[in-house]
Amino acid sequence: VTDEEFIALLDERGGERTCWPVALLPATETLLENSARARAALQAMQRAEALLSVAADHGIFDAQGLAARVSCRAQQRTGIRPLSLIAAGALALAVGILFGMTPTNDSALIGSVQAALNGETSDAW
Amino acid sequence: VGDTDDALVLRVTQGDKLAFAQLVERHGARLMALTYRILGNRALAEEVVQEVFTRAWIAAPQWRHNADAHRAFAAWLSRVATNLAIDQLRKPRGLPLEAAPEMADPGTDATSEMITQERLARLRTALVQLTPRQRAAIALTYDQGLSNRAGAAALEISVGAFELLLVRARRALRIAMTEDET
Repeated sequence: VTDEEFIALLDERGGERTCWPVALLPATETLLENSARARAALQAMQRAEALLSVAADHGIFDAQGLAARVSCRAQQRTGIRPLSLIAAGALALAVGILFGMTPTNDSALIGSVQAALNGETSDAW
Repeated sequence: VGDTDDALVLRVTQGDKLAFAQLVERHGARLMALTYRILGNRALAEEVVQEVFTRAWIAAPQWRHNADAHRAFAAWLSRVATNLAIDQLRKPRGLPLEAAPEMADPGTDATSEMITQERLARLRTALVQLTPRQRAAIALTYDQGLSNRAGAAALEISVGAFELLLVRARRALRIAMTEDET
């Protein structure tokens, strides 16, 4: 294993020896004994990995406060669903069409239409 | 200890706020760590976590009949949190990354504490310079302890692409943490 190969292994697998291929372990140990560059790279990777947990600290997390805010927000968001509005609109349209197609009960109008169809018109040409 | 996620989710579908609070308690800190790592800003991270749980509340009915709800729910939370955090960084307003709270360690002396703080500052600078997806890969691997496969699923990319993100991120962090040993 060369320095470059070892550094590539670090970048690929990290600085934890248990994550390295078992077959490479003897060769990496030999390299670490002989190469200051390889040792420095390993130390740098292990340093970064050890500090990652500290760097991720985000302070105190108020789970109860968040849960309360979220349930309010979720209820607001689900109070009026856009789908319900669309469904109501479609229903209103259907009712409108249905009533619009229904014949009226105006007997005078029906009588005049029938008279016109029978040629009983008084219109002078 | 306590109810499983699927039992809690079932109760949430019935409007049980206590069950919901338990889910937030169980997963909230983990999601905060994940989003904070990606965003580097506590206020934004909290905003994203709040949105994730709002969506979880609304989506709860879909988990009722999921036999593998425990694992699926946790993975779903990670996926939504990761994507929302990355989306948040794409917004133009972009709040600056802030310094994390100082960590006081009473067990160390002043010199080693100073060295630790100096290294932490270097690490944070290097993290800020990573792309959001590289930071997400680091967070999913080191903070969440996910496998490459699960991390890739959370980012909705291939395992190969996830591994490439990790390699580049690790390389940048390693270089940032390299010190002159002489």
